[in-house]
Amino acid sequence: MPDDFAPRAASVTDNDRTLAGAVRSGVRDFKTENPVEFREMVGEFDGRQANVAVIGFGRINVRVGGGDVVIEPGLGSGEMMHGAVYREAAQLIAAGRLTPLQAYFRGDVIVRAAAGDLHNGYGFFVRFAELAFGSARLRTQLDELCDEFL
Amino acid sequence: MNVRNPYDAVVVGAGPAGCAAAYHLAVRGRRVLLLEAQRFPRDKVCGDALTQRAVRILAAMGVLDCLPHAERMRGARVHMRGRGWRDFVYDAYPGTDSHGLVVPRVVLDEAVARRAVAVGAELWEGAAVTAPIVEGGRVVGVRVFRGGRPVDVRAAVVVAADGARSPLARAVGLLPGGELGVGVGVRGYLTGLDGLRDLQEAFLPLDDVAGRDLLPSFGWINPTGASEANVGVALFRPGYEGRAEQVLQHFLARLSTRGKEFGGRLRGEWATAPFRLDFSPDRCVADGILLVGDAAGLVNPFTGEGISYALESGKIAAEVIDRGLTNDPARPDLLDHALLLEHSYSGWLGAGRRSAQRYQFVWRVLESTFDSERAPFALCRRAVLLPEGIGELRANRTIDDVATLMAPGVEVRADLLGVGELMTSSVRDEWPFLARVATSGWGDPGVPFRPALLLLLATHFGDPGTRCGIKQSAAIKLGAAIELSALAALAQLGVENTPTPHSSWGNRFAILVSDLLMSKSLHLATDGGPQALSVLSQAVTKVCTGRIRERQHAFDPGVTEDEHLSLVELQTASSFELPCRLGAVVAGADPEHAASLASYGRALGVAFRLTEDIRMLTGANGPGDNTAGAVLRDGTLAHPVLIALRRTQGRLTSLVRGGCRTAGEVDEAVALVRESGALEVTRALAREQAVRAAVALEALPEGPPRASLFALIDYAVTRRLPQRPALESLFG
Ligand SMILES: Cc1cc2nc3c(=O)[nH]c(=O)nc-3n(C[C@H](O)[C@H](O)[C@H](O)COP(=O)(O)OP(=O)(O)OC[C@H]3O[C@@H](n4cnc5c(N)ncnc54)[C@H](O)[C@@H]3O)c2cc1C
Repeated sequence: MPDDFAPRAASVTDNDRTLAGAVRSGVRDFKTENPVEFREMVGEFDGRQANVAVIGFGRINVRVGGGDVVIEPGLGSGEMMHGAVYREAAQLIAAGRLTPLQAYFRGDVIVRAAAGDLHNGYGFFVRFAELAFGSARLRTQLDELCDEFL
Repeated sequence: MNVRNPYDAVVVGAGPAGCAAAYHLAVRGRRVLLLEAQRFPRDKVCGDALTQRAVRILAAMGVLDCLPHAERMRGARVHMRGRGWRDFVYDAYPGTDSHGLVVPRVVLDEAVARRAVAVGAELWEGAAVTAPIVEGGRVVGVRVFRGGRPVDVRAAVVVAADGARSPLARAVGLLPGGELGVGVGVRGYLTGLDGLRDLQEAFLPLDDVAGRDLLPSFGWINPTGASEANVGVALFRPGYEGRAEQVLQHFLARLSTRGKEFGGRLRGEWATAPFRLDFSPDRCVADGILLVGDAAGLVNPFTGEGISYALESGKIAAEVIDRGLTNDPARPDLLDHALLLEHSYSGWLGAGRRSAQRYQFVWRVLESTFDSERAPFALCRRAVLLPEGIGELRANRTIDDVATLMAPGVEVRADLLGVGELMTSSVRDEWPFLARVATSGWGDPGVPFRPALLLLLATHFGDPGTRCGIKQSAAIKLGAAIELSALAALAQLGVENTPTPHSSWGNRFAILVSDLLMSKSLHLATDGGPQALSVLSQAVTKVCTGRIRERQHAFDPGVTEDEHLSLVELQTASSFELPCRLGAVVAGADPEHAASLASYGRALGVAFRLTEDIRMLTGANGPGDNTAGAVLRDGTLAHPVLIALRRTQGRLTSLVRGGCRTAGEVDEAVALVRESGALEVTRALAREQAVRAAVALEALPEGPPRASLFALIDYAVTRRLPQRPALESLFG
């Protein structure tokens, strides 16, 4: 159902670039701190891509391939999944006042994908989200991103 | 030509969508101009029905207080061709605004527009937009024809809320050419009517004049007063516009056969308007402009309802614009609009649109399963027909919520939620409505009996420390497999032998759904290994064999009690034995314990079924429960009926053979069974089976899991649950 997905073609904004930069270094840190989990994740999602948005801020395209994750600013085409988080929720998460799972259950995190991908992704989300947000380096980065938001 | 100062937003069209967008922008302090080609009060061709969801949104905007008296509706009565009708009543939902309204659009739209003005929006009436102003590929305003001359209005954002035809969306290339995805509706106001109900009435589907050709369509009666109603028809297939008049006449002729009430007079004229059903998120935003309401194609393809979506999408647009303006007042980023609309509407409207266009699948499902109480159909029906969707889930009688029977320290609820989630995910692609139903988070999840048994055993017997990792996930998968196989069986039962007047789609559909669910179930069970798969398939074989044999013996008063009990063993006992055996497999229980658990499950199943037979004949499910009638008409013989046949003969025999055709005959048969003392015999047998189940448990180690299994036996014969604790505490 390709017409059920939101538009891909759009110009890249400065915010998109900021977001992409922040997420890139976040992924790098996750990879350094949790190499086993990182390998497992990229192995599982090899060849997949997704558009991810921070609502009210920006969008990035995430592609997994060749054992790594590639992040580009703006929307990519032909993605298999996409996700979004409200900016306020992202800030609360970054400030440690909301867990990613709580945000998901409040409907502040939105995910659309085919059934199998969705549940697979959800499983990883549950397993790794707390791990990622427990990382001191990631927290610092999130604080920086928060400053960007405000 | 004048050039105006820019506004934050200019909204084109003061229908519900445009007014909502203007209202929400204005309350956020944005400078917003609302342009309306006509002057209020202006009429609009519509059914005038506001669902409870629309009422709630209007209440939140403070519009309800400004409306004059409007007809309150308790809910909707949906008539399904050849299948009778069903009431979907709003008071099943909590809250004081548990009603719908019928408000003529000549009143409603003006009230919403005035509300937007009251909070600060500027409104120009008689201001027709003739073209967008586009600069460098970006929409920066609109050209308006007002007071006999053109005016250019510039704004950071333009909202196209100009209805189904949306010339603005077309002009900026957001709508394809041609009439793809368009339907048509005709309505008129009939006065002098008697016997109107406090329900919106919908009639699905309609047919052409010859009564041969079923159309993707429906008709309605929405009372606007004590003796007046908005009456009309809608057709959803593009290209059928020319047939609307014919279909309307046929519909009115059909109504007049209902009784004298449709001798009413037409006030004013019949009027026609298009429906847009082609919502697609990638066509609802471009640089500088976004679409809302009908312009975005947000109409329910099953019921034609669009006002609540119009109001909602207006609000979503306002939020996106407001955020965008905060970040960049000159050039706000609007793409989130597409994403949010997609999230709210895509699966549902998209799937509905596809099937409505071709009059396939979901329409057929609705039609062929309309009189079935089976869970999958009830859920689908509710999800499709009402925007509130799944309220019925709460009252889903097929779920026995046994959470409170679990002994302290035995927690299966979290895993059961996992079971539900897995079931949903495995059918989501093929069954979008079920997915919507199960993921929307309304209602109590309910703890179903059989997977509870499995999880209880799988996680609390056998090796200690099995609550994490592989065993637990295998248990969840097997729990989902069991429920899907049970749903598969229910789907088969759902349609029975009542094909629609036009096809045998009903039966075919039931078989297809059942096959689909069964294949998903087996797929999940493969993860439990060959042993689990073999246990599951053996159980399914037994259940099916039991069903086939039951069919062979239908309407046969000569069936002996022993034969009947062997059917019960096959059908019900094996479906309770299944989770016990699978639980034992997952838990790695030793063979002796596994055998005890299997006999526990069998006895529990028989006790459960016999109790169910008694409940059915005593109307224990509450007023309106007509299971006894359905079962007797179907020729299925319950245990007490067989006992009574042996004791009484004569009249009961002929009633059973004849399938109790009328409600009177059902009552008579039930009375004969009760008088014969058969219920006591069945009750005693159920208790005997309960004792058998309890004895089987003796072999198991003592502890909370065993205590829970004992509690389940008690429930099987009494159906009494201790008071439930509050939901929050369960999830806390
Ligand atoms: C026959 C029929 C029956 C229906 N019954 C129901 C029902 O019972 N319940 C329900 O919920 N929904 C019903 N609907 C759907 C419902 O009418 C629409 O979904 C709803 O009106 C959408 O609101 P809107 O604000 O998007 O568009 P509209 O209500 O169509 O408003 C568009 C506005 O834009 C104005 N406009 C158009 N062009 C211009 C322009 N160039 N410049 C300035 N202004 C312009 C129009 O004058 C109009 O005021 C029915 C539809 C039809 C056709």
